[in-house]
Amino acid sequence: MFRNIITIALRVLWRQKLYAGINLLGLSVAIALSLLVALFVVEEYSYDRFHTNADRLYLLNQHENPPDRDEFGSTSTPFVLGPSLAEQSAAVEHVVRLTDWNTQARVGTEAFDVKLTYVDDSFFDVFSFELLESASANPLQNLSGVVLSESVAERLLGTGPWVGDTVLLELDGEEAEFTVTGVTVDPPATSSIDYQILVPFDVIHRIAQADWMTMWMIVWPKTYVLLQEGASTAQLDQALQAMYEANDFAGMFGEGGLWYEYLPITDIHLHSQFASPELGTSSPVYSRILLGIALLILIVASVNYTSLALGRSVTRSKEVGLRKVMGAAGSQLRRQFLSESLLLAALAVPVAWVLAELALPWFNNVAGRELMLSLDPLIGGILLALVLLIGISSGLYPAVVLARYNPHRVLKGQASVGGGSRFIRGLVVLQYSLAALLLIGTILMGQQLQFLLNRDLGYQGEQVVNLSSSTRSRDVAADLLERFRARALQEPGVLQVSAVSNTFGGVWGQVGFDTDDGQFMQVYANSIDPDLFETMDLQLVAGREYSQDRPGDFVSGIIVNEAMVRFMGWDDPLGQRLPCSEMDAHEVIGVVQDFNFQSLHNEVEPLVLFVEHTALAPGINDVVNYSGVRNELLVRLDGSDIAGTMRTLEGIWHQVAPEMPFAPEFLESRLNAYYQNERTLSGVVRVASGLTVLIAAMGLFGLVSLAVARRTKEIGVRKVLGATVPQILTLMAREFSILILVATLLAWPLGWFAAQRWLEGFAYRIDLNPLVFVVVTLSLLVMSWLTIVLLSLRTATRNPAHALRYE
Amino acid sequence: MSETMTMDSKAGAVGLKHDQPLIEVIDLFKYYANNFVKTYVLQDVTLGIADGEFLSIMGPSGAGKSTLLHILGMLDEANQGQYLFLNEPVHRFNEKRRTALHREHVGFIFQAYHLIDDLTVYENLETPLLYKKVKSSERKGLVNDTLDRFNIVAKKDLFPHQLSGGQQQLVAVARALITRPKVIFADEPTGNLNSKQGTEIMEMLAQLNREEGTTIVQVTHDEVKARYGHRIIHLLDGRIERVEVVGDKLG
Repeated sequence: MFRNIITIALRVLWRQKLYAGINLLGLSVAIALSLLVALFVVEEYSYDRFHTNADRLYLLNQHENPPDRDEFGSTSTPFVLGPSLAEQSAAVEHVVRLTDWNTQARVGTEAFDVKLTYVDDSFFDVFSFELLESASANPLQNLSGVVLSESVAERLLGTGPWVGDTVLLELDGEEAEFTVTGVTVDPPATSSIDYQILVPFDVIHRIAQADWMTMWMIVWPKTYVLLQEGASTAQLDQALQAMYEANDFAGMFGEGGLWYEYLPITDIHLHSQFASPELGTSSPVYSRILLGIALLILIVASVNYTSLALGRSVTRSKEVGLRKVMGAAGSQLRRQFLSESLLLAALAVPVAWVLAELALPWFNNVAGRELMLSLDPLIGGILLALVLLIGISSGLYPAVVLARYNPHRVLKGQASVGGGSRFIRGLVVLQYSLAALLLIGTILMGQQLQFLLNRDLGYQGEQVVNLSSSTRSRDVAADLLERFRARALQEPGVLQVSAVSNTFGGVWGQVGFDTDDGQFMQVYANSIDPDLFETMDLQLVAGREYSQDRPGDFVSGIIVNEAMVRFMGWDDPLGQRLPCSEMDAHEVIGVVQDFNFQSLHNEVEPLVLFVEHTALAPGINDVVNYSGVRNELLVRLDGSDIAGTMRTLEGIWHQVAPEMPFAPEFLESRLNAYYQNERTLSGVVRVASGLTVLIAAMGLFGLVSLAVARRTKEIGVRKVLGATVPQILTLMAREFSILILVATLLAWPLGWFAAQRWLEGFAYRIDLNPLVFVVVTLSLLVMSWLTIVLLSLRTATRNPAHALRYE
Repeated sequence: MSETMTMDSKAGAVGLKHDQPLIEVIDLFKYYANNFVKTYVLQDVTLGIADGEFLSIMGPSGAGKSTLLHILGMLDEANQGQYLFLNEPVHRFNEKRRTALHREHVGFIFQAYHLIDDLTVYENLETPLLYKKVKSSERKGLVNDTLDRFNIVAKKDLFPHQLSGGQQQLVAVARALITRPKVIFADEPTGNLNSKQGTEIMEMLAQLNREEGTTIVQVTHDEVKARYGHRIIHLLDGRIERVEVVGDKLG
C-alpha cells in the first residue's frame, strides 16, 4: 500500500511539473530558512550546557536597594563573598571568582592587546574547559604561571608545545614575567565565559588594594558557586542570612537593601538584563523574531501548496470517484492525498539543505555567529518535524475536500469547483497581507536607518579618526597625546588632534553625587582635551571655550550642555556650580550646543565637560564607566590623500608609542555600529520580505494559470460575443486585484501599529508617510497584473474557435 | 405499486438458479432540490434482483438509468425508500459500512472505461485489492491470474492511454472481477466500442453469469445487448414502465 501510494504521488508530481516546481521551490526556501533559524536558536539555548556540572552551577547576582536610589542588580560582587560562602555553607562544593582585565602582553619586542581573566584555582574543578597541556595537576596554583587558550598561545608564542614559555604582562603600569603552566582548547562558542589568558586570582593584588579583599562595600569580581550534589539554593540563602547579620548589612545597605539572586549558568546567555559585554549575553527576542519570520515564510509556502491543491481538485475528482468505485474508503483517500503533501515536503528537504549551505555564510554574517550545518539527531528531528508539520498542515484540508467528492456526481460530470474556492481566496489574502506587512516593514526600517545616519548630530564626525590607546594611566595618556600631537600637526593632511576619556560612538561615563539637599544626582561627564571643540566642531552657545590663556579653567571650569542647563533650571548658567558643597570651587564657563553623544535611541541628556576632574572629585560618590583618563585620541583629517595620511600617522604612532598597537577607527564606522542591531533586523526583514513576495508571486502564478485553464471556454464565448482583449484581461485581473487590495488594506493598520512600536525605541525618528503604504499596495497590484497579463494573453488573443472546438 | 410488487414476486418465482433475492429496493425516490423545486430522477422504484440473475435496464436519456445503477451499486444514496442487500438494510448504513459492503461485493464497469490514468494496467488491477487490504503475496497471485485469464500479460506495464478502447474495457472488466464480487454493475459497457469488441465483452459477461453465477446488472441503449439479460427493466421518467422477461433465457 505504502509503495503504491508513493509511486502514485511521484507520478502525480511529475505530471504536474509546474505546480510541483512552485511548491518544491517555495517549501525548500521555507525549510532552508527554518533550518538556519533552528541552528541559531539551538545554539542560543545550548549556552553553557557543556559543563558537566551545569545543573549545579550558579552565578550570583547582587541586588542593592539603597535609600534615595533606584534598585539595581549587578554580577559584580564583593571579593569576600565567595570565600565566605565556601567557608560557611556546607551546600557549597566550590566557589570561583572571576574578573576580566584588558592589558598588553609582550613577547620579545612584539606587543599584543590581550584580556586577562583572573580566576580562583578551583576553576578547572568547576568548569569543563579542556586542558591541552599542563605543567601540573592544577596549573592555576602557581602564582607566576598563566594558562592560555590555544588560539592565544598560537598568536603570542607560535607553534606549541607552549608550557614553560614566558610572556610579559603589563599590570598596573609595570611588566611582570609569567610562565605558561597550561594551555586549553579554546572555550566553545557556546560558553558565556570567554577567556584568553587565565591568571591565578591572587595576582589581582597587583591591581587591587589589599583591604578590598575583606570589604563588603567594594564590588568587582563575578562569583560562581558550584553546589554540592543534592544541595539547594535555599541553603545558600541561610548562609547569606547569617553573613547578613554578622556583617551588619542592614546598617550599610538599609533593611533588606541587599540580596542575592542565583542565576543558573545555563540561563545567563539569554538574560539580557545582565548584558555586560564580557558575558556576551543575547536576548531571547532575537530567537523569537527569527522564529516568527521562519514561521511566516513556512505559512506562505504551505499556503501555496494548499491553494494550488484545492485549485486543481476538480482535475483529480475523477480519480477520487474511480477509487471510491473500486472500494476506497474516505480515510484511505485522505491518507493518499496527505502522503502527496508529505512526500513533497520530504523532497524539499535535500533542496533546502543545499540552499541552507549556500546561505549559511550570509546568515552567519548577519547573525554574527559561526554556525555549521551537520545532520545531528536534533537537526534531523527538527527536519522530520518540519516535514510532518508542513505536509499535514498544507495537505490536510485539500485531502478532506478531495476525499469528499461523491463518485456518482463526479462520474456524471457534475463535480462543482468544490468547497475550496472561498478558502483559496482567504489563503491568498493571508499571503498578501503578510507580504505587504513585511514590505512596509522593510521600507520604513530603511527610511529610519537612513534618517539616523544622515542626521546632524551637532558635531562633525566625518574624516575623524579615533586612535585608542589602552593605557589606564593619566600621565601616560597625557604624555602620549602631547608627543603624538606635536608630530601629527606637522603633517599636511591633519587638521587637528585632541583626546577624550570616552569617545564618540561609544558609551559615555556618568558620575553621581549627593546634592546639598540630600538628593542623588547623576549626570554624564567626560574629561576632554581643550582642543576638542575645534577638532569636533562643537558649537558654543554661551561663555567661553578652554584656552591655554586661562589655565585656571582646566581645573575649575566646567562646560555644560543645553540639556544640563534645562535640567538644572539655570536662567543664567555662566558662573553656576554643581549643587554639592563637598566639591571644590568650580564654575560653568560655557554652554555647548546639544550634541548627540549617545546613539539616536536616546535624547540628549545632561552632560558636564571638564579637563581635570579634581575639583569635582571630592563630591563624587558614584561612577559608571568613567575613568578620567584621556586615552582616546581624535584626529581630524582634511580629506585629501587619506590613505597616505593614515600611513604617516601609523609611522608616528609606532615612534611615540612603540609598545602599543595602532588601531585606527573612523568615527563614522563607530557611529554605524550604534545601529548594528537595527541594521541586522532590517537586513533579515528585507530578505524575509523578498522571499515572501517571491513565494506568494509563484503561488499567484500557479493560481492564475489554473484560472486561465478553467476559463478558456468562457473566454472563447466572450470573444465570440465581441469582448476585446483588454476587456478579457480586465476580467481575469479583477478577482485577484480585489483580493490583493483587501489583503494590503488589512496590512496597513497592522504595519502602522508595528512600525510605531518599533520607532518608539528611537528618540529621533521619521514620521510615518502614508505614501509608503500606498506604494506597497500598488507594487503588489502591479506585480499581480503582470503575472495575469503574461499568463492570460495567449488565451485572450487566440482565435476563440480554437478554444470552443476542444471543449 | 401493488402491481410492481406482484411483478417482482413473479420475477422472484420464475425459477432462476437461486430464489434468495440478492437485492431488494422498495419505494425508492431520488430527487434534486433546486430553488425549492424538487426534480425527481427516480420515483417509487421497487425492484428485486435474484442472486445469479442477469438484468438489463433500458430507457431513453434522462430516464434515471445511471442513477438507479449508482444507487444499487452504493455509489449514491436514495432520498427515500428501502434498499436491502443480502437482507441488510443499506439505506440505514453510514458511509463507512456502505463502503465496506460495496468493497466486498460490488464491481463496476463504465462506458468510458474509467481506468486511472496514472496507473499501469497491473496497478489498476491491483488497486481494488489494496483497498480490500489483501496481503501482498496473495495480491500478486490474483493480479497475475487475472492478467492470464484476460490474456493481457503483455500489457501489464502499459498505461491506459497506450491501449485501444477495447483493450481498456477488457482491463476495466478484469478490474471489476478481480475482487470476485457477487454483482457487477455495467453502465453501457459497450457504448464506446465497435460491434465486434462490444460483442466480445457481452459474451464475456454472459459467460461469467452462466458459469460463475455472478449477478450482472447492465444499463444499455441497445435492444440486442439488452437481451443478454434474463429480464429487461424499462425506465421512463424515473419510473419502472414495464418489466420484460426474456423468454429464451428461461428454464
